[in-house]
Amino acid sequence: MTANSDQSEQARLKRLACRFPAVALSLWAIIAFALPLAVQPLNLIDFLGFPLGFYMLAQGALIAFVLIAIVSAWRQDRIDARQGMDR
Amino acid sequence: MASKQDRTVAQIRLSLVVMALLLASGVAVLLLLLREVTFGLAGIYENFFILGAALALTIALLAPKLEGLAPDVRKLSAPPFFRGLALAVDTTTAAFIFGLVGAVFAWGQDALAFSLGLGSGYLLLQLLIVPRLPRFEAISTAAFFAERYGGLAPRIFSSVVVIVSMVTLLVAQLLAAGLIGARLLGLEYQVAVYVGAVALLLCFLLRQMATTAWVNGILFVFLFVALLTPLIKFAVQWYGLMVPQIAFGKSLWLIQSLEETLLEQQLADPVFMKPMLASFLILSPLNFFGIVVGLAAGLSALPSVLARHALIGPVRQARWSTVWALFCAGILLSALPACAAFTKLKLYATIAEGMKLIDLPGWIFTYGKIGLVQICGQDATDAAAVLRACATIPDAIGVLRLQDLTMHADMIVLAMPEIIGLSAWFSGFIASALLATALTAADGPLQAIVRTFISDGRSADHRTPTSTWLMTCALAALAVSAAAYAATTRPASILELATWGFTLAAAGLFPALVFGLWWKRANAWGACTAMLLGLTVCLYYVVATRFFAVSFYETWGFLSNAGPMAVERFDELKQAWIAAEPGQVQDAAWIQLDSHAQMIANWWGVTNLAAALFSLPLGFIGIVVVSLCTSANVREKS
Repeated sequence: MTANSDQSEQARLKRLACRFPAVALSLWAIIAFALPLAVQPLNLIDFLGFPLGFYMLAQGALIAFVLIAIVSAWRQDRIDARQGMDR
Repeated sequence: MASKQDRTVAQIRLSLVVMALLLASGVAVLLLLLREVTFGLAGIYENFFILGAALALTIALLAPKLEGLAPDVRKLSAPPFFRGLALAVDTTTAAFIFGLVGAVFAWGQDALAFSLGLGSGYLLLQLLIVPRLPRFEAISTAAFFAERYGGLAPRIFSSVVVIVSMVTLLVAQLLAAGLIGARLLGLEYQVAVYVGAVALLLCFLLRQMATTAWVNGILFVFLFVALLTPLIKFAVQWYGLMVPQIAFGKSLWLIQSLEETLLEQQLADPVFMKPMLASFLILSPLNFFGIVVGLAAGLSALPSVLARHALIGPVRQARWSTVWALFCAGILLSALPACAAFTKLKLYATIAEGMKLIDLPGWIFTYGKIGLVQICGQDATDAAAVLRACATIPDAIGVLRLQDLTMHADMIVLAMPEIIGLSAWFSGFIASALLATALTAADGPLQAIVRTFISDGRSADHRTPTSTWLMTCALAALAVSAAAYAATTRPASILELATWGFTLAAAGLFPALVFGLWWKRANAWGACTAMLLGLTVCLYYVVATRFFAVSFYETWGFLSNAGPMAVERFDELKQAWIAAEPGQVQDAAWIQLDSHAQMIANWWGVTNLAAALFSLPLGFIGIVVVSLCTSANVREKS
C-alpha cells in the first residue's frame, strides 16, 4: 500500500464517520409518518391476537426504532475502530 | 492515581447512601408535621413553602462543607446501560406515564402518537445530536450555543427557551407529584403540590453532589416492577399469559365487542363513546403527525437531556447509552397501552353487567374525593352524593351508564390496580414509584435552568464557591416556587403540560441545534432568528388557543376550521354572555363560551398539542434564510 492510497482510505473513513445519517433518518420517517396512515386497513388483520395496525403503532414501530438504533450504532463503532487501527 | 479515583468513587457511594437516608427521614418528618398541621388549619399553604425554603437554605449553607465529595461529572461515568436507564427515566417521565395511559384510555388508538413521538425522540437523539455534540466542551445548552455561535445573543435567547420549556415541564411533574401525594398521603391536592415542591428542592440540593445514573437506574427497575406486577397478574388471570404486552392484544377485541354490547343495551351514548380501535377519530392525521414531530424533536433537543447525558463522556458511550435508553423506554412505553386497555376492559365489563348505583365499587369514591371521578355531573364523594346527583337526571335508571361516569384521564394509571380488581397496595406501590420518578425527573429541568445561569461553559469543575451555591439555591427555589404556584391552579392536564414543554423545547432549540451541528454556514444571526421565531410562535399558539381562546378565535376566525354550525353556536354563546347579568350567571356563560371557543380556536384545525407543525418549519426557514443573508461567521470546530 502506498502512502497515497492510505491517505485516501483515511479520508473516506473520515467522511463516512461524519456523514449525515440520511438512510436511517428516512427509515425513521417512513415508520413514524407513513405507518399511521395505513393503520385502519391493517387493523382488519389479526397478528398475535392483536389488530395488526394497533400492534404496529404500539410496539412494532418501537421495535423497528430499536433495530435502527442498534444497527447504526454498530456501524458507527466499526467505522471508529477502523479509523483507530489505520492511524 | 487510580487508587485516588477509587477512593473518590467509594466516598461518593457512601455519601449517596447517607443522603438517601437523610432525605427519606427528612421527608417523612416533614410529611408527619404537615399532616399534624393540616388538621383544622386550612388556607396556610404559603407557610409550608416558607418552611421548605428555610430548610433548603440550611442545607445550602451546609452543603459547601461537603463539596470535597463532589465528583467531576465528565470523569465519573456509569456504564452505558445504566446511563441509558437514567436517560429513559429522565425523559419518559412520570408525567408521560400518567399522560399516555390516560390518553390511551380516553382516546383509544390515536393516543399512540405520544409513544411513537417519544420513541422517535431517542432515535433522533442518537442519529443527529450524539455523534457531534461531544466535540464541544459545553455542559449546558446555553453554553453550547455560546460556544458554537459565539457572542452573547445566542446564549441569552437559548436561555430564555430553556427556562420557558423547563418550567412548563416542572409544572407537569409537580402536578403529577401533587396528584400522587393527594392519593398516597390523603393530603389536599394543593398541599401535596407544595410538599412535592419542597421534596424536589431537597432532592435537587442534595443530589448536586452525586452522579445520578446509578440512582436513576435503580429507580427505573423499581418503576418497572411496580407497573408490571399488576399487569402480569391480570394477564395471567384473564388470559394465562405472562407477558401483558402480548396478552392485551386479545383484550382489544374484547373491548370492541363490549363497546357494541354497551350500545345495544343502551348503557352508553354513542356521542360519548370513543371506540378503542378507530384511527384519526380524535386527532386528524395532521395533528397526529404534529405530535410525533413535536415530541421527537423536543426530546432530542431537551436541555435536561443535553446537560446530563448527551454531552458527557466519549461518543461511543453516549451512543450506546442512547440505544439502551430507547430499549428500556420502549419496554415501558409498550406496557402502558396494556395498562389502559386492561382498565378499560374491566370497567366496560362491569358496566355491561349492570352496575347498580347503590353498590358502586370503592375506588369510585376514593378518587371522587380528590375530584377525579364524577358521576351524573357531581364529584362522587360517597354513595349518598351519587344517588342525590343522579336523582336530578331526568332519564336515570338506577344503573350506571357510561355517559354518567366522568373519569379524569390523569387518574387511570394510579387507579388501575383497584379498577382491575387488585388490592390498593399495588396502587400505593405504583404511586410511590411514580412519585420518586417525578421528583428525580423534575431534577433534570431544574439543573438545566440553573446551569444556564451558572456554568461558564468552560469548566466542568464542581468545586464551586459558596456564592455560587447560594445563587444555585436561589434560582432553584425561584423556579420551583413559580412552577408550584402554577401547578396548584391546575392549568391543564398533565399530558398537555408535558407535551407543551417538549414542543417548546423543540420549537426554540431543535433547528438551531441541528443546523449548528451539521451545517457550518449557520451563524449567530440565523440561530437567534430561529430560536426567537420558533419560541414566539409556539408560545403564542399554545397560550392563546388554550387560555385566550375567545379572543384568538375572534382574531383568527378566518383561518379556523370551524363549520357553520360551530360558528353559529359561538355567536349564540357570545350573545348569551353579553346579555347575561354580571355575577354568577355571566361567569357560567363565559365558561360555556370559552370551552366552545377552545374547540374552534385554531389555524387550519391544528391543536395546540401539535404546535410544532408551525414553529419547526418557521425555525428551519429562519435559520437558513438569515444565515445566508448575513456574513459567514464560522466558528465550527472540526
